[in-house]
Amino acid sequence: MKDFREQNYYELLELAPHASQQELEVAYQRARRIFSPGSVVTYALFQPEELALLSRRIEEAYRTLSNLEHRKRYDEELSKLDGTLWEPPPEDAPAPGPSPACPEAAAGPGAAPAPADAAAPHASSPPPKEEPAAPAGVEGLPLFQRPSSQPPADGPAQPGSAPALSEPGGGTAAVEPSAPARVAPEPAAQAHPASLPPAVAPTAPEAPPPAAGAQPGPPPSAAPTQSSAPPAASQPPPAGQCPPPMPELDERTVYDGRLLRQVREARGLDLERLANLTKINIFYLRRMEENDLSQLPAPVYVRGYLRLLARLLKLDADKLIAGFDALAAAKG
Amino acid sequence: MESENQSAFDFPWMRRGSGRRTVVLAVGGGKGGIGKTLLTANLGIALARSALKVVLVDADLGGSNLHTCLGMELPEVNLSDFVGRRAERIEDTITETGVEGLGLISGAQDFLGSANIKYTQKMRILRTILTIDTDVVLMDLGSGTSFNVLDFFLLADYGLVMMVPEPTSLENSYRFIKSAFYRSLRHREKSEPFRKVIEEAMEQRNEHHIRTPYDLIRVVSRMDPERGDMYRAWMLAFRPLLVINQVRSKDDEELGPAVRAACRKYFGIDLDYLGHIAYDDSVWRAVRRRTALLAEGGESATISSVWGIANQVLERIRELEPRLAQGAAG
Ligand SMILES: Nc1ncnc2c1ncn2[C@@H]1O[C@H](COP(=O)(O)OP(=O)(O)OP(=O)(O)O)[C@@H](O)[C@H]1O
Ligand SMILES: [Mg+2]
Repeated sequence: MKDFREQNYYELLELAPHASQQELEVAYQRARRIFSPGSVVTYALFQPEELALLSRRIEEAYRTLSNLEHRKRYDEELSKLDGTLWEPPPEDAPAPGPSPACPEAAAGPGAAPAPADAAAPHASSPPPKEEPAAPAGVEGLPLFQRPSSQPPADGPAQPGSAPALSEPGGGTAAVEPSAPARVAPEPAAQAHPASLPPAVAPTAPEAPPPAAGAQPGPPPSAAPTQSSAPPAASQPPPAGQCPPPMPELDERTVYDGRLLRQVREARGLDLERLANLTKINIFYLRRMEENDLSQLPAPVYVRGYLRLLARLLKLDADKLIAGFDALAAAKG
Repeated sequence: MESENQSAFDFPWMRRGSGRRTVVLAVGGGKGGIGKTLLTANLGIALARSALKVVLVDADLGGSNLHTCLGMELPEVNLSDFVGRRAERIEDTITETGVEGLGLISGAQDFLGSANIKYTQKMRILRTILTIDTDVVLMDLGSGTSFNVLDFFLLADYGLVMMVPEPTSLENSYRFIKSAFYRSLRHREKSEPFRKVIEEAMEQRNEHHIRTPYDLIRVVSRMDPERGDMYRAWMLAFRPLLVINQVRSKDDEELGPAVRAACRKYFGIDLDYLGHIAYDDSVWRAVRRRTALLAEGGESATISSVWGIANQVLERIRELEPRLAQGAAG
């Protein structure tokens, strides 16, 4: 999660990246209701100036996203800044899998639909009446498609289920929060630096994309032509650089953090990418791989994480959970 | 030594072994008179009827009245007997409530009169509550955001925050949520400079201009990026349950999701919204008759909404302790 000043338009409206127009409409009306100046819900929280700024941002978000042309451009901007937001779901993503040059690791990520229920710690709770919870969210992992003009094929069924695109930590880790948002900052001359998203405003449709802030990326000037290419982050590891072999899985296998690391490496995933994919805080991922349970949240959350990791890494979730339970027991 | 700096106690969510243990719940919410005690009593009955062994703890230090909501006379033993060592084990202070599977540890009447218990006494109570031999401990908290209230709240695996649809209640509950989160950070953080920052954040006006958890994390990240990540993770793991009480209109019904969205936007804290309870004359009539709403049976929208909330709580209990899934106490 991020401060609203750092949220992109989708995060502001708590929308999935490829939400339909109808979902956008619902989310917008909802956000307006909740964050309107007279709202009883916000009065004790936000200062009037903050509310005004938030309302303005919500309007901007809506204006941009409701215009197909502007939205497309905005999406392209976003994907340059954070490719992981837009990368294809694991099913057809080449990245987490082995590179073709390494056939022995061919297990691949397979058609592992990251289930919505693995996202939240209260995984088996009844379907939330509202957006799924953010923690550990792979929220809508399969929903992250590259932006295109095609209608979202597998978008959230109901408007209400549109997950927040919030970042529970993993990705944000690299971004100094006080730095301009990963969504490109405004030109410094503007009145509200860092508070406003890229100038994809209707008034300046041809404006060159602003410089990327937090992340080193391709220079913005290269933008328009590059946009249809897959974002760099989803490219497979360079061929020839084979990941280590997949560990044997049999009844002697110890399901613990070491195994997590081995399998992750065998699948050619680095920690950061795994954090981005799963939205599990990289700090937690590291601790889990180190078998250090003392810094993890309550087991109910950890179980959620493990289920999610098992799904992505193609491990037996129950064995993994049992393995970590045993670890916890051993360590008292 | 009663310095709060010695961390004499690890809160259960800091480290939870896989052994059998009691699930602890607490009902709080900042403002007084919003129905915390009522919900505690009725939730206790609902959970006990769901075949769990439940012990209610009246942790409203200085204002205990949980027994009244259960239609009981003032119990003869209470928490002060344990604190004053007249009762050797905390279990010895449990009074039957008349509902099968539901016991009550009544609030202390004397030494806690001012809600000023000593730190060591509080720690002893907290530590002992975790050891009560039962499936579920459900604590009724007093109002306000004193450290005592917050620490009982943080002891819980699941803390319920209650609100009623009034600006004053929302305001107090927001403050409660924020204070509880800061307090939880304060408990987890072992390093002195960072504790200072957290303590500073707890003050209204502070040097770093910290007004929200986001601000705090920003300051901490600047000092130590990895720690910032850790705080962010803690923020995500901090998920109070939300119940809205005394709902009177259709508009009020939308309050829960809206409060949740507002907290997420402002604090970065994602509440787990369980549902609302309608305002209903039968509630206070039951209070006047000194009976618990659920104790009498019968059906009403209010009763079913309390059951709805109880079932949500039950699911979370079972998620934490799968052994309770059959409801088999034992
Ligand atoms: N849903 C409801 N419908 C009608 N009246 C209600 C409802 N909930 C609570 N009340 C009324 O509010 C009164 C206060 O409730 P309760 O004692 O549970 O509040 P509390 O939050 O525990 O207060 P305190 O902080 O003082 O302990 C009750 O006696 C009851 O008359
Ligand atoms: Mg009370």
